[in-house]
Amino acid sequence: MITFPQAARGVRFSTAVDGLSPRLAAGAALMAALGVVPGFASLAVLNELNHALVFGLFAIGFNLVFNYSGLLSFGHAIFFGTAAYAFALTMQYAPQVSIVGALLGVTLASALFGALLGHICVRRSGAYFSMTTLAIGALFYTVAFKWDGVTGGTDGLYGFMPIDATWLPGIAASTLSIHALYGLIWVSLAVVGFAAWALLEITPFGHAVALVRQNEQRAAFLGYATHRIKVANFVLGASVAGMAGALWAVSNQFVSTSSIDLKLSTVVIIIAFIGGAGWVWGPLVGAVFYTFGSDWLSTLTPHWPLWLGLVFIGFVLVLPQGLSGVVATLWRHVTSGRGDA
Amino acid sequence: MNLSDWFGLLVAGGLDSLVHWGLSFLIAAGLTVVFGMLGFLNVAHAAFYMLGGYLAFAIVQATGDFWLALIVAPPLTALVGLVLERGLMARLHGADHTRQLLLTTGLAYVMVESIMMLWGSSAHIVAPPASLSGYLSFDGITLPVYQLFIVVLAVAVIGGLGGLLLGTRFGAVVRAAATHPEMVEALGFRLARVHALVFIVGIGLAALAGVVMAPMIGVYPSMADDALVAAFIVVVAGGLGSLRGAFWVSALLGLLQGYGSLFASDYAMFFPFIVLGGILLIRPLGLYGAGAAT
Repeated sequence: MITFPQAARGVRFSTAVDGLSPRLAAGAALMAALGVVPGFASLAVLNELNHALVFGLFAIGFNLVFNYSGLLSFGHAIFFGTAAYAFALTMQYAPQVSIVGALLGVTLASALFGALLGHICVRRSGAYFSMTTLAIGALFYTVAFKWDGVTGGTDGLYGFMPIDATWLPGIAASTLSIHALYGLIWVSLAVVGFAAWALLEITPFGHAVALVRQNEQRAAFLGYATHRIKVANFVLGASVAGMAGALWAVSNQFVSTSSIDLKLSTVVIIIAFIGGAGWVWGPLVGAVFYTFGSDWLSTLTPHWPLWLGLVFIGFVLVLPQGLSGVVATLWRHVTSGRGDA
Repeated sequence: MNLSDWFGLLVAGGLDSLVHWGLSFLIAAGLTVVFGMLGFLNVAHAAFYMLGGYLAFAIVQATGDFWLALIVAPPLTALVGLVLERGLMARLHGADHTRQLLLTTGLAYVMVESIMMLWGSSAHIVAPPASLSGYLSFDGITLPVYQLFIVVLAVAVIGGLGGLLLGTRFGAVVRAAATHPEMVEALGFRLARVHALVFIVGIGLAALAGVVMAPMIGVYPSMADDALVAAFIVVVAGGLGSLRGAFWVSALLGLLQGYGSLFASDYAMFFPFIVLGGILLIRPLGLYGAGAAT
């Protein structure tokens, strides 16, 4: 097992909040920093940051399943992609629906979809789970690729945002400014991130998820419905990824098979791991690193994905706790005396 | 359409089935055996198939000799595999499987990007040698020579390996290493060497499939992803670790590909998923899914 901090600390029922407050503070600081960026960032940077935050949300969703249930999905782009398509098609065929309404609707639909697929996928763990999710991911990619009457195939969908779009019923969004989009994404990220953190770190449900990850047999003996608990967490991961997919559709205004392919499922693994899979907010760090790092690398070499892959391999071999782990270790050195325990 | 046309279709479809059967088994064999023996799923396996194809492309481009590519590319790819296994993957032996999955995921990503850096991101066609191009005609039925060649090659390689595994003392050691590793080690065989050998032979077979595929469908950037999905489906449906399962599932998928695509070519892309779903419904662990590598 990778000794992510969650696993190392073990399941705690009474002293749950001890040692968590620094993490909560770190998450709050990160979100606060991201909240003030629009005050001085250029539009180009802000546009990049929009993408980074959407990928961050997607990676957080992936990581809920990976970190808290120990299940490595090779098909998490299923939820991102189907939600992106669903959002685009909703806007195209029902332009009177408000953006926030469609966002919430698509997220809910992703949850149901996640319940359906989760029921099939989480029966097996380890490599079996990874292979099942890869196969199902490939199936949905094939559907998106072949069903071009609906998805546009490799050309994708574009121009689906109506001119008279509304944020909420009655609130016009005729000019989808980057700042407004950033606000929407930031708020979604903050709400989802803190809700996921609270749900998985301090509620009995979160403890049950951790227990099932650590010792499923024992959890079953204690009377927990382990399958349902894993499915429930899978549903969380699916809906967060779905919300990210819908936000991707509205901010990118283009959805194609590259939103649902195996490559994207791989990239989200890389993002989450580089950022630090042991933390709810870690994948967000990874997404910012990925977006700006690849942007910078691509000015130096057209073969930047190669370097990204090498960085990822380096993290897997040497720093399995990711960037967040590095920061946490440095922080402990600075404040010294605070053990990991 | 008269009777002999139907017969022609039947024969052509059968040949197509055999080609797909052989190639898909060559790719999946290494993946499933390594999983059975080491409990280790190599996500980069299909990247070695891709490397084999691109090496063949490079060799044919440089020398014009396909036969040279056929003989040189698979061992060269296996050598790359050996270096990567010793240099990288060995560092995570005994580590948990999630990290091995992550490592080989990164390795696949890096390999595919390296190949695209070396050979560009467009597709390339590899010309088959003159002696293998063209058609043979029997009694009004025309068959592509290259497909016949693939079938002969696949039968020879798979038959040879089967004979080696089942009929020799060396094969007995390998089979025992899969089911009773402690006993094999206690008898004085070096388990690590058996594992390394199985690993690189598996990679060599995948690379061989890449080489012979190159004149058929060319080499292209997403070929590793396509092959990975296809191989995973074969391995999961056959039962993880089961060579026999991979063999029969490859046969079934080959038949569907060969004949099904004659009648429902629009849906041919979905056949593997339907087969996988159907098999897992009846046997949730796959055809021979008990974990034993036979």
